[in-house]
Amino acid sequence: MLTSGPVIIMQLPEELNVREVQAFMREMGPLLESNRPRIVLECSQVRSMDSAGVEMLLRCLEEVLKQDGDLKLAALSAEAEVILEIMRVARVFETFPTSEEAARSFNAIPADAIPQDAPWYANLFGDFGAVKQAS
Amino acid sequence: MLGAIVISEPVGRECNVRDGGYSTWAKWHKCPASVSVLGSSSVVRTGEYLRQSGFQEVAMLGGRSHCTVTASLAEIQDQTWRKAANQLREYHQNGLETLLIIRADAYVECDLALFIAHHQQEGRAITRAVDQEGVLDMWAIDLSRFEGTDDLLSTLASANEGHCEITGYVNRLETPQDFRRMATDLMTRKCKTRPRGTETRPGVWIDDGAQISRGARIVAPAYIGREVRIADDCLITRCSNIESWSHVDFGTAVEDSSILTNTYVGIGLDLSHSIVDGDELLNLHHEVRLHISDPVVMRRNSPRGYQREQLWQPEASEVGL
Repeated sequence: MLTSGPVIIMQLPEELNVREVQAFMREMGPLLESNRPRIVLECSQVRSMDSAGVEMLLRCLEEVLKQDGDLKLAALSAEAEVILEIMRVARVFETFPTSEEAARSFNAIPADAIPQDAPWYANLFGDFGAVKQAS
Repeated sequence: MLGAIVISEPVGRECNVRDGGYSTWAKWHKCPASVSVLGSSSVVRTGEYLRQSGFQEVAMLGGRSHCTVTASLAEIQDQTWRKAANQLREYHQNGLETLLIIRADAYVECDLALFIAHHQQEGRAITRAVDQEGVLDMWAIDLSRFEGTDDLLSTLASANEGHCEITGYVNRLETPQDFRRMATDLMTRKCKTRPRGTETRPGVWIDDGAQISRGARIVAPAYIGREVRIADDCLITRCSNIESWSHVDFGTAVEDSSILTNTYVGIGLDLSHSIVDGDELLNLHHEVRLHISDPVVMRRNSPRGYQREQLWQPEASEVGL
C-alpha cells in the first residue's frame, strides 16, 4: 500500500543552533510521531548551522524512518550545503532544488511497489512500459 | 646599487583598478600578502626573490607594528606610504639611482634586470610594470628625476609616463581562488619559489616539528607546515596545505584546501575546495563564507604560535632582510 497522506513542507530557520533546534523540535515533535510522515525541510533561509542543527536533522530522519515515512531537504542554501558536506551527512539526505519537486517526489512509485515478476524495463519506461507489458 | 621597497598593507585603498576595484567576495582577508602560503607569506617571498635577483637594499614596510592598536585601515595605509616616502628620500640621499617599489598585494616573479634595464633605456622618471591582464603595482623609479611627495601612492598611481610589459609568474592574490592557485602553483612548481620544509618524498613537503600520526595518509602534492599535528586516519590530498601550528583531528579528510595558520579542524570532517582560517571557512566551490560557531568543528588555536608566525612584521625587520 502506498502512502497517501499530505506532504508537510517546513521552513528551517536562518540559524540552526541549540536554541533554535529546541524551538523547532517542539513544532516537529507531533509530526514525527504521526503515521508515515512525509516531510520536506525547506533550507533556503539557512545561513548557519552548528553540530546541534546537523544532529537535529539526523534525528528527524531517524524518527521519520522509524514511522515508515521519509524526510527530504529542498532548496539548500550554499551555506547549508557546505555544512552538510563538511559534516559528511549530505549523502544521507535526498535533496531537491525546490520544495515542490521534493513534494512531488513522494508520489513517485517506489521500487518495491513494482511486482517482482515485471520485466526489468518496466521501471525504466514508466506508464509506457506498463502499456507495453499489458499489450 | 639596486634598491627596493616592498610594501604590504591591508586591502582597501586600491590603485590597481583592473576590475573596478575589489568585490565583496574578493575582500576575503585584510592583508592577503601576509597570509602564509606553504610556510611563507608572499611579502617574505617577494623580499627573498629581490635578494636573489641582486637587490642589495630591500626595505620591507607594512603591518600594524608602527601604528596604534586602534588605527583604522586607512591610517595604517597612510602611515605605511609615508614611511615609504621617507625611505625613498633616504635611499636618494645615500646615492641610490634606481629604486623598485613593489606593493606586495600581488606576487610577481619576472626578469627584474630586464625591467630595470628597460626603464633605464627609456630614460623616464617612473616605469610601471604591466602584464597581459593590466597594470601591476610595481614601479621602477629614477631617483634623480623623481620628485617624491608624502602621498607616494597617489603619485605613483597617477604617473602615466611609461609602461613595461613583463613576462613571468604573476598572481594578483585578489580572490581566495588566487590564493589557492598560489598554493597549487608552488606545489606543482609553476613558479620559482618553493615550499618551506623538506620534500620527504616527491611532492610532499613537511616542515620542522610537524607530527603526522602513523595512520594518517598524505597524498602528493601536499604541504604540512611547522608544528602541525595530523591525527590518525586523516587524509590530506590534492594540493592541500596545512599551515603552521594547525591541528587536523582524527579521521578528517582535507582535499584541495588550505588550512591557514593556527587553525583547529575537528574530528571526522570532509573538507574540500575550501580555505579555513580559525573559525572562518570559505568554500570556493559554492563561493560562500561561513562563520563556524561550534569550536568542536573548527576554531582558532591558542594564539602562542600565531604570534610567532607574525614575526615578519615588526619594525626590526623593516630594513633589510
